[in-house]
Amino acid sequence: MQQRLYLITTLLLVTVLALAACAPGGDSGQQEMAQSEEGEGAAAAEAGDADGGLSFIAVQHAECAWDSFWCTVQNGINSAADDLGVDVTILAPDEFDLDKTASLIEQAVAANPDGIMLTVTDPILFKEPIMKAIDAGIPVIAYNAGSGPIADNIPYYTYLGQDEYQGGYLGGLRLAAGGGTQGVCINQQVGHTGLDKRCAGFSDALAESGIPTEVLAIGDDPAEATTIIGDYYTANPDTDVFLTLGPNGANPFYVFVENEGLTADDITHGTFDLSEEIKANIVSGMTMFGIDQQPFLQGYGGVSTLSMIARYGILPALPVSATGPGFVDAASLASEPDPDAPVSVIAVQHAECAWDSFWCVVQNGINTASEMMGVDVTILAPDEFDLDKTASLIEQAVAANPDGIMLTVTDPILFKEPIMKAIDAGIPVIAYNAGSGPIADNIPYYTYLGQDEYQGGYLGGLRLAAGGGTQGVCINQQVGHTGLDKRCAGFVDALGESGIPAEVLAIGDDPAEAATIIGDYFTANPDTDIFLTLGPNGANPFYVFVENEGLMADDFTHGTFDLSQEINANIESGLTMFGIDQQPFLQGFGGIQALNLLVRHGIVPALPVTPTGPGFVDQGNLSVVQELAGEYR
Amino acid sequence: MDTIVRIRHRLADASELVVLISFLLVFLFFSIRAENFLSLVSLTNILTIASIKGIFVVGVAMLMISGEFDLSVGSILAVATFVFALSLEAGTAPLAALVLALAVSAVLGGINGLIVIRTGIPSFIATLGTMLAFRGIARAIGGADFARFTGEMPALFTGLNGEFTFINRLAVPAGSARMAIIWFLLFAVLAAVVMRNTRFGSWVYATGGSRAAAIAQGVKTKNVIAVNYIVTGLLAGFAGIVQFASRPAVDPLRGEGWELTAVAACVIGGIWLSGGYGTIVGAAVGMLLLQMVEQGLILLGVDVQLFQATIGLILILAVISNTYLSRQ
Repeated sequence: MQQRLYLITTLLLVTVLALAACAPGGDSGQQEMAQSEEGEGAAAAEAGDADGGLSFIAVQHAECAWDSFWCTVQNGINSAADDLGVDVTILAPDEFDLDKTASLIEQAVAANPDGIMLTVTDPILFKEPIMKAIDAGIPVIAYNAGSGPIADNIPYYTYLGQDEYQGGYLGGLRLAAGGGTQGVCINQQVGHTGLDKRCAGFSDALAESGIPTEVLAIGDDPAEATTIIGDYYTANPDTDVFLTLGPNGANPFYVFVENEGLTADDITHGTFDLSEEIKANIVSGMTMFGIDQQPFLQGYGGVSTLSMIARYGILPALPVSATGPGFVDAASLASEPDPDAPVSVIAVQHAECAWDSFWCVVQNGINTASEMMGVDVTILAPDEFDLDKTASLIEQAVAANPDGIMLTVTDPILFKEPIMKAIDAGIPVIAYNAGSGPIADNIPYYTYLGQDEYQGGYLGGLRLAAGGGTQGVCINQQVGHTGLDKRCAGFVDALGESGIPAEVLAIGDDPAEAATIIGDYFTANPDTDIFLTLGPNGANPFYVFVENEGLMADDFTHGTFDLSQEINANIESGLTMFGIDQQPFLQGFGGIQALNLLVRHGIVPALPVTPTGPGFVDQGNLSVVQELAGEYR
Repeated sequence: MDTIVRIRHRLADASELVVLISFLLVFLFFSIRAENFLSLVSLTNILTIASIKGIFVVGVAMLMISGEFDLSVGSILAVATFVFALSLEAGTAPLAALVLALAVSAVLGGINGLIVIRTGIPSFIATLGTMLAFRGIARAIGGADFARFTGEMPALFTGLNGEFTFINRLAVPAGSARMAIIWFLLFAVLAAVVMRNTRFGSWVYATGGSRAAAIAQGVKTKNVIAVNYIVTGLLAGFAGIVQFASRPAVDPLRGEGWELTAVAACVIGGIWLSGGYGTIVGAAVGMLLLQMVEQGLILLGVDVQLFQATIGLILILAVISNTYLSRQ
């Protein structure tokens, strides 16, 4: 009898202890690992690459051995190769020699690697060797030096480097956050495209707060520059917001500040780049921040981007993938990178794989990345769509004090308070899949990983208009929906660049009615030959309309957002040029990668929105995408 | 042997003992095993999140002691929240919107009571029906969409579910203590006193214990049941309004599945499914225990899916323990 009583009253404790045994990083974690290993193997086989057997070549115009800047880049490359399980060979000339670099590219092509990353130091000189790689079907991306495939006029995938305009713009927002009367951008080389863009961004940001700005041209002579700044200040004593574009602007600025006896209370100052002097002034509070182009991320991101292309057919979303601006302030200067630090992340999302298959792809991305990078991750989601429960889960995640939280900002108003709790507690937060970025959501998390809707419409428009056209139409099933409206705006802008007029046609969600509306529009505007639809709800009635009118693929060009059985079939038949995928795998994978880089290497996401899409699916990669559907796509 | 039996009888007299012991054991376990469990944010999370459901668990507990179920609480909560949200957005004064929403909740509770006492359909089935029906109403009046309150937060919201900033700011991460805790405490204490010290309380126990005997003694069992349904409806509606006051958005699925959480909290708390036995305090502690398990498992890095398995296990163990102790 005694024994039974004892048994019953302690049964609960035993049970909970048993549960705990399989709790933290125990069985469940290992199970996940086994699963994703299996998945990875299968996908790699389908994509035609042996599991983990990817080999890339990096060709750069300089190297660590004789230029210490490149040690950080190469460190990033090696770190990514390690994390992602790929081989990377780094090739560089023994001294600055562009001709030698170009021939290294040619030799790299001969090795037929799974991908090449290179510095487009001279787009004219390098065009021919790069084209050789692209023509051979080798994926090529650029890092550190370049301007993107469009500006360089070489069709490589993307360029990883600093977004100069955004550097100036986001810097300006920070500097103007506390108010100000008059701003000045001190430019040591007016006429240099990159530097001018920085000043333009700065001016735009301050204009949003109603603060007027000017550009002050200085030279490269420090003493003269100091005098010019001093003279300007005498003439404009109200100036209190200063941006310098590097040490050549910052150093004379510091001399000027000392000459005038100004203190951090009188003015705000930010600068591009870092130097010992700049760092000292950040620590002392004189300078709010230094903007770093984050060379580590140029290397790391290059390898990661090539792996995405080679393993999963996931393409970089934009022609330029920003690695900077990376804002370095007093807090980030105080923290040392720790590449081996244990990292635990909690992912809170409004839906999950168990009851919404879209999320299986996202979660596969999360689990694949966490296994590769050695990040411990817990995914939390409600049992059904329940935003209040999701908000509670965020609050409960904060209590666990993880090294990072990634979450869906499904409702920025409802979620603001729980997210602020995490941010106030110093837990890094990034958003994925649902959100609009920290500025639009008015919640200061780091970045949002999701589709850039405007760029989707814009880049789609460029493709559709590449072969010419007379009249374009964006078929919008929900006019007034911010995301959809942005897609149409991008499309209209892209066609405008080719001088093709474009309109927005509003349809409803009723397919039959929509087909009629499109038909009526076409009757009234028979010249229309470029069509963009914003999803299956626009594409399906469009296909009905095409059949009704008896139109052929030669009569028009059509592109659409999203993929579906019907859309895929029409891409295959050539009627539809492309479907635009938001690439959910990358949303999960990229979220873990961003937090990993942030916590272990101090790398800050460059932009408020880190685009995972548009990912274009056309005849070229449709079969890969279909094979990987449900798991990676 | 005699001592054991005596102990067992004494334990049986205090039906909440099992849940109290379980609560302490689980609390102790998480305190030792889960990092950050004894932090302000973790503990206030448990209290605040549990309190919303706790408010209507009090009503469900009274109903279950009187021998009846209410599976429609989640749906009533949704209807009331929509009524509150939509009338606020339509420009109704906050207090009037509150009264209107509570009146609707009382009416829906009353409908439950009427069906049960007039038709004699088992309440499990009757309220299963109204659960579906009321859910339909919630979806209809909400137009199957979210309802939000986008204006300036009225002062009423602070009273309903304002933050205790002076407590929450004591630590980093900040705590999440809210007025909901006070409401839960208030209703739980009020109901506990009523059940223990008033004639109505005895009637509730009598109605659930042996209805024939109760009727023979002159207890108006039908009135008791009707009152309990109305009280439960009111509390469910109020819980929804309290929740809305901190996060002013409601979706048509709000509260779905909560009816079972409430039943689970009551059963873990020592209330018999057959009625006539159990306490409000037991059910309240049961609700806190459930929420504590969720927060604790999250702290341990366990995927949330395992939460339900754990709850199920605790539920069964609690019933076994309670049954054993109450065998006289």
